[in-house]
Order: sequence, then C-alpha cells, then structure tokens
Amino acid sequence: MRKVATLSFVLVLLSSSFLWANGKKEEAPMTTNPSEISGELLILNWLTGSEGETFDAIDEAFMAKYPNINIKKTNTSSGGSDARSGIKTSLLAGDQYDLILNTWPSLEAELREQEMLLPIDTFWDQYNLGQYLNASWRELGSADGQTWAMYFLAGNRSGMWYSTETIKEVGITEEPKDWASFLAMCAKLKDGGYMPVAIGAKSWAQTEWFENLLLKVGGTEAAAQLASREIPWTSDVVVETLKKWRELIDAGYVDDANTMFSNHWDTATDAVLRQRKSGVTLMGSWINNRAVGEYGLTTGEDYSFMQFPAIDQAYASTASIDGKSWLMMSGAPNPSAAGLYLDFIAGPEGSAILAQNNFMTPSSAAPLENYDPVSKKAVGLLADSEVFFVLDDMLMPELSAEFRSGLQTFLADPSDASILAITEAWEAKAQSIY
Amino acid sequence: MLKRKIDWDAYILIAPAFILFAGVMLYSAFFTLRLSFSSWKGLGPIKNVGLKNYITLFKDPNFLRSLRVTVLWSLCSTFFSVLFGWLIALLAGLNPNRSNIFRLAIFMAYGIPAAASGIMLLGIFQTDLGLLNGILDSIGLSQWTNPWLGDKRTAIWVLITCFVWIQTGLPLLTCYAAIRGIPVQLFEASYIDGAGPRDIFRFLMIPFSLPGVQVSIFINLLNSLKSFDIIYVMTGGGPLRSTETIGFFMYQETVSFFKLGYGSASVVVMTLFVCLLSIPVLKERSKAI
Repeated sequence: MRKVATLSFVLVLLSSSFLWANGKKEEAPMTTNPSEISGELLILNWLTGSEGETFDAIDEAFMAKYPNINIKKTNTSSGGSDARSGIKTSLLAGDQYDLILNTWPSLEAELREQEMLLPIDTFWDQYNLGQYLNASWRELGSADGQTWAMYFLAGNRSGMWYSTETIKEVGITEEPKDWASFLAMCAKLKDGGYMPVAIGAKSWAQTEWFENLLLKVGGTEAAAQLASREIPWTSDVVVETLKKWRELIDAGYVDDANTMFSNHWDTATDAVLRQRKSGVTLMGSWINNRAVGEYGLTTGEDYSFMQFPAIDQAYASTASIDGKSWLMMSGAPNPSAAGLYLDFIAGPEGSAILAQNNFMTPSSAAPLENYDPVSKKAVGLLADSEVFFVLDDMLMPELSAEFRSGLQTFLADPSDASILAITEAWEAKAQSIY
Repeated sequence: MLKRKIDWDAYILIAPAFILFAGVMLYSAFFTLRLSFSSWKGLGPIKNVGLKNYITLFKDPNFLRSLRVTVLWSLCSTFFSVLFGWLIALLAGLNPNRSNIFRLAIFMAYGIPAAASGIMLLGIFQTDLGLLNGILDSIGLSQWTNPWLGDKRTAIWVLITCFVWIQTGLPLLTCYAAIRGIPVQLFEASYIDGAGPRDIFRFLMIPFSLPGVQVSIFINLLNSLKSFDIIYVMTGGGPLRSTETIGFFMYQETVSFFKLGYGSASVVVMTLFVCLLSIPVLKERSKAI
C-alpha cells in the first residue's frame, strides 16, 4: 500500500512539472527580414461561420508563403454573444498571444491602459503599411501619438436590406434618399401588405437605428461628443433622434414592441429576405454573405441595400461603420511573425482573399473586381461618406447594456415622459462609469 | 494508555483528492469572497473597497428586480415540478410495469442539458415559426397567438413552464423510488384489513412517498436558484430585463461587464441564500439517517 501511495505522489509531481514546462514559451528576437522569421504565431480570434472560414483561408495562404511560421489559432467564441468576455477571460488566465482580433475601441483602450498592447509603428513604417492603408485608417487605430491597431476590415452599418421582388411588387422604382421619401416608401410597403421595417430588438440590433438616426440628425460630431462624454445623454440631439424614430412607431411601420423583443437581427433578416413578410431591415454588411450562403439568393439580383436616408441635409453623407483590427500584445512571444502577418493581411494577397469573400477591406491593395455587385456598391458609398464607428461598440459594456435596454423601453413606450426617463437613466449610468 | 497510531497511508491516499478539492473549490470560494470586497476589472490591479459592493448591491434596482424574479421563478418552478413529479410517480406506482416508457420519457428531459432544451423549446414559443402559434393559427385561434418570449407578461411564465418540464424528472424518480420502497407486506396487510384502492393511495402511498418529495424540493429549489442557461438561451434576460434572475445577474456583472468584485458580491449573497435554505434541510436529513 505504501508503495502505491509513493508511486501516486511521484506521478502527480511528474505531471505537474510537465504541465509547467509546457506552459513556458520562449520569446523570439524581433526582426523584419522574412527569411529570418520562424516559429509559432499565436492568434486569438473569435470569428466563426463564413468569417471564420475566410480567416482559415488567409492563414493557410500565409503559412504557404512562409512555411517556417506556424499559426496557432485560439477561438474564444465561447464568450457568448459578446466575445469581449471570452477575450478577457483568456487574458485573465494568463494566455499569451501575438495578435488579438478586435472590433471594440473600448476594449482596445482598456488593454492599452493596462499596458498589455505593443505599439505597431515600427512594423507600420518598416513594412510601409501606409501604401495600403491611408492615414485616416492609421489614425483610427492611434492614441497618444502611437499606432496600436491595424484596421483591415470595414463594414457598412447604414445599409437597409431589401428583397428586389418586394420592392418591385409595391411599385418602388427608386431608393429613397431622404426621410420623407423613406416614409413614403414605408407607406407603399404597408399598403402592399408588408410590415415596412423589421427590427430585431431582442438584444442589440435596435441600437443600429438609434446610431444611424443620430448621425443623420446631429452628424458625426454629435456622435463623437456623445461617445467622449462632451455632451450628456440628455442632450437635445439625443431626444430629437428618439423623436424622429417615434415617427415610424406612431405610423405603425414597425412591429409591436413585444414582437420586436422576441426577434433578433437574424429573425428580422429572415422576415425580409427569406419569408418576404417585411420590407427592409437595417443591418451590417455581413447580411450579404448570409443572403448568399444561407438563403441561396443571387447578390445584386434577388436583394440589395439602400443607404440610410438623409434627415438633415448637412449630414446626408454620414454613415455608420464597423471595423476589425489586429492588436499586438506587449508580451507577444513572436512579434516579428506578427508584423509579417499584418503586412500579409493588408497587402495584395490577404486583401485579395478578403475581397473574394466579399469582406470589405480599407486596403488599397484589394482588387475591386473581386467584390460582388452589392459589396462593390458598399465600397463605393463608404468612399464618399463621412463615417463614424459603431457607437455601441465604443461604449463600456455596462453602459452598452443600459443603452440597449433603454432603447427597448423606448420601443415599448415612446412617449415624451419615457424618453426623458430613458435619457436620464443613460446619463446616470454614464456618470457612474466614467 | 495506548497511543493511537496515525495511519499515514490513509492521509497520503486522500491527499490528491484533498489537494484537488482545496485547489478547485476552497481556493475559488475564498478568492471569490476576497474579490467581493474589491473592485477589479480583471486586467488591472485589485483595489480594496470594503463593503461598498454589498451596499451598492442592495441599492441596485437591477439586483433587487432579479431577487424578486428569482423568488417567483424558484418558488413556482419548484412547486409545480415537484407536484407534477410526485403525482406522476403516484400514478406510475399503481402499475409499475406499464409505466416504464412513460417514466423514462419524462425523466429524459432532466438528462438533457438545460441550454439544449432551451434551444428545442424555442421552436415551440417562437413568434413566427413557433409550434404553439402555428397550432393556434391552424385551429382558428389566431387572436390568441402572441410573441410569448417577447411579451413581458408572458416571458417569465413560459420560462417557468419550460423549466418545470425539465425538472419534473427528478421528483418523479425520487418519489417513485420511495413508493417502490414500500414493503409488499404492507400492501397485503392493508388489503386483508379491508382497505380499498383509495385508502391504499391515501394512507400508504402518499405518506411513504413524502421523503422523496422532501429530497426533490431541496434539489429542485437549489437547481432553480442557480439556473442561468435556459434563461440565457431563451430570452437573454429580456424583454426589458424581466427574466433576469440572480444567476443571470451574476453572469452579466462578472462575464459581460467584467465587474469581478461586484459580481463576486452577488455570488456571495447567492451562496448565503443557498446555505440558508440547505442547512435546515440537511440537518433534517441527517436526523432521519
């Protein structure tokens, strides 16, 4: 018996030492000469589905070009509907990565404050990434005079998706450019037996409406001021935005609140493009891939999108965008390989794969002919727009939750008193956080 | 006096299990307790804040609402699941051989992870393509169709119904086991003494199945207090936060907002809640043993 016990102890000790030894990673020296770069490149990604597959294709192409580098990808999609929690949990557990995929400026700021990020200016200059990504994109990923993020994907969040058949059926021949013509289009859709606008307000999709209306009512300046707390959430521009939205509710151009609360963005998209029960839905560019991949529709023929209509002509060209960027970790075990990866993604090879899969990239190296007609339309529109990053992604998660539930309250009760209470609750939450 | 010999082999053999338990359970419990007195976002240093988290917690309208929802949720789901499980066990006890498949079918729901059950049940309660609204439509009761999970008045009851369906299996099992434990001689003696089926049911099966009811009340109540997955899958805490329980609140604060100190305070309160409920029942059970 004594021998068995001793043997058990030895086994426990051995396995602990093995686990400890494997947990240690050696750091590689930094270089930008591709022939000298080798080893493992650790990437934290959280994309799945068609987006995830596109990244698999990019990674394979990268490893084919640089066979000495092996990409080891960790997917934290287990973070639920918000991958930030998955990312943070992984970092909290002490996991080391070279690159992290990010889409939330608030998370980038948080990581920067904790000195967990490495500025990428050295790589930007040495690989001359400016030849692919213009100064405004570098600016988007910069803070305190240094570049922290390389944006390589952009998405239009101001597109209202529709089925061409539905639009034709109710006699709409032209996409509405302003609010009045949009309301007229809604009236036609309603007369034709369609619910004009589908909103899936179960979780976050209602924020798209607020953000786009805010841009059209107060411009990018108002949105920026709100995001940076220069103006309070009780400002006139916020109240006016909600009142503009109320016009749709009062006219019966959206479902009743309970139906909206039971639907998510995907259900709303199904209602527009698959079941053809509703007229339009406001959602990001990923609907394009969903329409082709899941509904089997032909891009540009069976469906398309119209840009959010102008309300105040001074802000007619504003648009909401999302973006995905790479962040390099301050403790990156292989920063040289990470730099090379950034160059590959922004350069002709990576951009071509992204464009081929209809993911809009701000890289000038992306061949325009690779895009389908709908993506090409979005690329063209964004090029002429004054863009602002998705507001909900810029907020701290706690404020974002209050923002979302406040908008649900608004949809259930859009009265003046309710608007006042909602905006006051947002402001109170913002004050308690910042 | 004889000196008691220490059996070192025994200590060595239980050491791995104890180390694992201490590392996984005790360390986590103490770390959570420690965090509940601090402010920590996970990435920076831990700042001590004393009792601030607890004071804020009991002023937080979201926490107070989640407390109210939890009480409703736990009491209703436990009451109905135990009641149905008990009644089904009594009925099944009348003819054990013919109720095998029936019992298995009901117990199977208990074996399916709540998240998976939630996804299946969504198919029933969805607004457009849901089975329930589809049936109502097809039998001419369209006016009764409803966005069940989007309506603040119905969402919590739909969730309770679904959870009752999942939880009924356990009381069925414990009560049925208690009924099957009744000695056959008691039935025989009762019949000889002139007891009818109703008397057997009332004076024999019901009282003898009560220990099973007691155990299942305890387990189902604990399960309902900590339930999170089915709520997350079916309503995400909505609409208008009307289905957020303490379990959901804990998740939201710690995992979504990464307010680890504040979330830990809610975990501690929840743990105290569970202990308050468990200790009397455990004492009672110990006495019985």
